[in-house]
Amino acid sequence: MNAESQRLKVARSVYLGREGAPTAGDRWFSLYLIAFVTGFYIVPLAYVIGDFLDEGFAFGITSGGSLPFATAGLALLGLGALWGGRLQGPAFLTPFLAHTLLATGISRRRVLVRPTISAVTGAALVVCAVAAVGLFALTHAGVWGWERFWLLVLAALLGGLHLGLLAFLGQRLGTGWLVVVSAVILFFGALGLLVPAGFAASPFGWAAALWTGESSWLAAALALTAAAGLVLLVAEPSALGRLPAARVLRQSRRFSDARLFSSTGNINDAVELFRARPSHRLHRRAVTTGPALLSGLRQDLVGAVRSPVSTLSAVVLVPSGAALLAAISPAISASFADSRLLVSVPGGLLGALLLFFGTGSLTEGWRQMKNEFDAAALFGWSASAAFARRLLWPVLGTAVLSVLGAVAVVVLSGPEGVGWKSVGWSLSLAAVVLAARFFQSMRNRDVPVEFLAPTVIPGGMDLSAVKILVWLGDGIILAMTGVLAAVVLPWELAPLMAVLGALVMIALVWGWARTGQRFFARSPRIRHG
Amino acid sequence: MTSTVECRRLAVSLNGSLLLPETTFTATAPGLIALTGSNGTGKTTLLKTLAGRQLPSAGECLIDGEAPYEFAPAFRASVASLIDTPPMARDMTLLEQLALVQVSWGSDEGTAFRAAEDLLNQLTIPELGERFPYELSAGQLQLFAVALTLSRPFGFLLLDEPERHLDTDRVQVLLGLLESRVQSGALVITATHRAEIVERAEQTIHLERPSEPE
Repeated sequence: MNAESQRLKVARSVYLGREGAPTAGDRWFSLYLIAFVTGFYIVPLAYVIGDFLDEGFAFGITSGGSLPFATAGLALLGLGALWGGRLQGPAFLTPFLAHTLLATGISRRRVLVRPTISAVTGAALVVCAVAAVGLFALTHAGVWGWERFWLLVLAALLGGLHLGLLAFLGQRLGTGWLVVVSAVILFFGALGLLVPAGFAASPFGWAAALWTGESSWLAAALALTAAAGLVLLVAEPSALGRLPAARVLRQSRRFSDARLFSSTGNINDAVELFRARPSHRLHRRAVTTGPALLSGLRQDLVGAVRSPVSTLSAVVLVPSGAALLAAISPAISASFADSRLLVSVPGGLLGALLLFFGTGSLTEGWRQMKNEFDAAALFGWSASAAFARRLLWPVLGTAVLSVLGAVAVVVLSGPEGVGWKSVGWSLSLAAVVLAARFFQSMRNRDVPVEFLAPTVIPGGMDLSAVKILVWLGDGIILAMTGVLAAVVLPWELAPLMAVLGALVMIALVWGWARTGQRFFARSPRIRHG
Repeated sequence: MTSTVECRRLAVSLNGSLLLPETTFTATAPGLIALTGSNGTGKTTLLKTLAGRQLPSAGECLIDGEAPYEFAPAFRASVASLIDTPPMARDMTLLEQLALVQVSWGSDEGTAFRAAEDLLNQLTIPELGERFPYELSAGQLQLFAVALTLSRPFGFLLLDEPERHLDTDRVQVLLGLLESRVQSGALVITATHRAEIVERAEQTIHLERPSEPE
């Protein structure tokens, strides 16, 4: 062992021996917990799902017809990994280790290679585990044999490694190259979706072909590509050596700060750390006089242009969520015995989540409005005018992007597909999600003090953490519950619309009540002027 | 315009802790009033009570004969305060934010931007006008917070240690601005630890640390 490795080993052992560091026992307990949950909950659940699936449906979602969608989905996953790595890549050290080790003469490659490989492998295992549950259910339903199951599990593991590598690329590359790689991934995704046999042009298509069993040689191609990626990660350490230390330090500090904010219930500040900073564009264009609706719309529009990455997240996530909700619409009101619910329920929940997170950048104005309300009086308009100013941008943005996503599904699914009614369905659920976002945006920044007190239930368990989690995620819970209820309950159209409308109104009124403002109070300007 | 602030035997307690001991004073506009006392004597609590953001536990405070109520339009039109951080938009430049405050009170766009530029000039930070809040240092952020508060019209101004993070020269600039507002007829009450502000104030309200219960 050379001197550099020895120094690194000593530094790591000092850090691992710190007060409060996880012990070997803690790690074994975590492994035991994972094995316990897998054995007693996940495997039986996958088994039941397999029993529940009818063969015709299971064969349908793994048939050649789903190949374009699988290719596009995998490409989107790759794009997510790439940009996820930009926010927090796998080359990660705690702030203490990052400051201590990156400032020494020990080569950066040597310092980062172990945590990077650990993170990439961990991510691959998570991807593999999630995929294995679905694959187990499908295998149990008789879609394919156990040999194919193991092949697909292996492919999921190697695919997970690929995603980890893409996350590393996102962390390593400059913005220009990142855009180029994103464009290439998007191109492959679109090619697989729109051009027959276009799937064969990229590893995303090869993985999708493996899923649908379109071409057996592609399995080998995919495995070779993924294995090459793994070799690349281990054998090409110079990429780590040239990773800018400032970027590693910034990500490390940000992650640590975000964890600290989250642990005290301050999600707003935790999320703020990951928001792209605005850039200097449209000099002095954000302010104008005129009707509240239009002057506020202009302010929000200028803000969106100044924060293109945030805006892009809305442009990607909102249509994706709406498209997912449109795609599952034929399964709405299906009976509980219908196996389509196995797709429509998780599909609906994922769609609601994508919509919820997508509306985050569109509702920056609502967060600013809440800050206005919480602070001492600064502006001369009434509370209702402040609300009107920040109303149009989120509503129009969500509506337009949702319609785009839903219409794309209608067009791509053809005349026998989901039908135009699904656009209305998608738009109605988007309204529920947006109202839930309003409800959450009007919440106070700090956890109510009374929530921190222990809530002990019979048996001695403290449920205070549950209360805090529910408080933190109330908007998400509301959005997901609304969508879930709409998906699984046997609705007729008219009562469904009435209930969704009521849900939107409740979220808006309750959200407003959280501000403590009187909606119909006069503007202070009237008196002053 | 606010003309008189009158507090009689005002006290504030929270969960059994005395935050502000019994305090009585009268202040009449125009004037610069310094609120002094060591840490924990209740300066911020008194300011919050005057701003209508904290209810008194005993006694009363009247502004022109009425109890402070922060949601009343007349009160909001008359009373400005810088106690906590004012709302700042992350995606608007300082000039735009100052102009937006002016526009909200009825100015046209051109007048609002000119007034915003004037204010930044008076605070000797004209070069910061095109920056975003995240591009400022702690001292610059404090100056911007002061600028935001001063950019709205008021008759009564409450400030909690506005000299925080400021160098000696900037404290003088701040004092000059406050005095100009007083000359326009305003009543300014500022909590402070700086001797130069106390020296130039017409009146000082000194708060003592609450005595421990026996």
